[in-house]
Amino acid sequence: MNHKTKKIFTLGIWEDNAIYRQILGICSALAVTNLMLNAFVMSLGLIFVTAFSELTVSVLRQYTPKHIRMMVQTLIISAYVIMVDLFLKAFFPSISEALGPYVGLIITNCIIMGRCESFAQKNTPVYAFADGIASGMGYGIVLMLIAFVRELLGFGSIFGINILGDSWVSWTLMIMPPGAFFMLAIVVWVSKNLFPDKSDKKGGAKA
Amino acid sequence: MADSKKKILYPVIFMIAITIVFTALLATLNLVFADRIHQQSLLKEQASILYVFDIPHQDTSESVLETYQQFVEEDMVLSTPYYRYHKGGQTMGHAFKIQGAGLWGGIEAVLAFDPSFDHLLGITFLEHSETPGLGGRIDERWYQDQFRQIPLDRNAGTPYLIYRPATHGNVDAISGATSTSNAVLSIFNEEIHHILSVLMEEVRREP
Repeated sequence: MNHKTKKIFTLGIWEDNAIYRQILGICSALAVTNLMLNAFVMSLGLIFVTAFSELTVSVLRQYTPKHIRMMVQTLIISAYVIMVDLFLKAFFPSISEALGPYVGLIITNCIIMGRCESFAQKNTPVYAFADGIASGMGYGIVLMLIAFVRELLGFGSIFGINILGDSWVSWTLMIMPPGAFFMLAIVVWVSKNLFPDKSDKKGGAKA
Repeated sequence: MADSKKKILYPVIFMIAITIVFTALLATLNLVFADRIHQQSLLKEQASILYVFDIPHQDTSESVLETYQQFVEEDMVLSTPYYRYHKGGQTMGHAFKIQGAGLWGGIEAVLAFDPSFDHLLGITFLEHSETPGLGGRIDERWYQDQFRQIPLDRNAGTPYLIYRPATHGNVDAISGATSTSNAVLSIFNEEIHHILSVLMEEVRREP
């Protein structure tokens, strides 16, 4: 692994994490984190779609006319998402049902388009692919973290296996939408303290 | 002149070409998976019918298919799909596939009755588009299991099902999903009324 690839992974997973640093992909992060299994499958789907979309965008970047690049990106992303959807329906129908419309909604996940625009347009296919995996993993790790706490407290289980025993009183709140908001807020708060934002200190206007 | 034409022509051709490539790819994939997806949905429906009648079977697809073919008979009664559960030549239960309006879209469900139509044997859902994690929780077993062996008093008439804690309540609603819970119950009450007043006679008339 050379220096640039390493940099891509530290940025994607840790320092520039899509969820807690860029606050992207929040909708699905809130929606599918009530069970570890759902979060896991969603993360794999997103890693696949981001990596291959970035790869394709990067391969086509020199031939794509600049002013229609977003149209092309959307087309590429939707094609890969439909592939994931078909694959889940054919081989994992129960998971496909549990995730419901959220698989299709990967198309609208800002992480993918964001990475295609900011990275794949300017880098070679190999690095673009690596960046897709890194960003997807960054998203996945946060999702799994949130899902871990929510499923453990909300159902007393991890991946559907009972951990806390029958005497555990489930926190129903954790598996309902408010639980997701609380958890996400805590994650963002912790990360704000881990990575003090330099622009905050200057007090400049932020986009 | 020639230059501006080129600028318009190239993006159009590029877009058409890339659309054709991805559409062809997806169409092929769809064709490859179509059979498998159809099988999966058929299997899911059969497993649902077995569940609604509470017929014991193993959790494998072979067992579902085998048990289904052994005990269940499909028919149509006044254009409503009808399922008969039989064992040793004796009718053990009747089930009907019904439809109604949920909160966000149509709900397709199955209602099963004992041979004399005095009790509800069970209910299950085949299709719905309720919010995952909220109304979507009607898929959960604890919710569906509540409807087992609920006595139906034909003389008292509708509503047959009432949410607790109202007087004579017999089932629990889903907290945080009031609209879906109410929609489901009103579909059931309406359909049970229709079945008991119309379809029951039709089924009994048949040999």
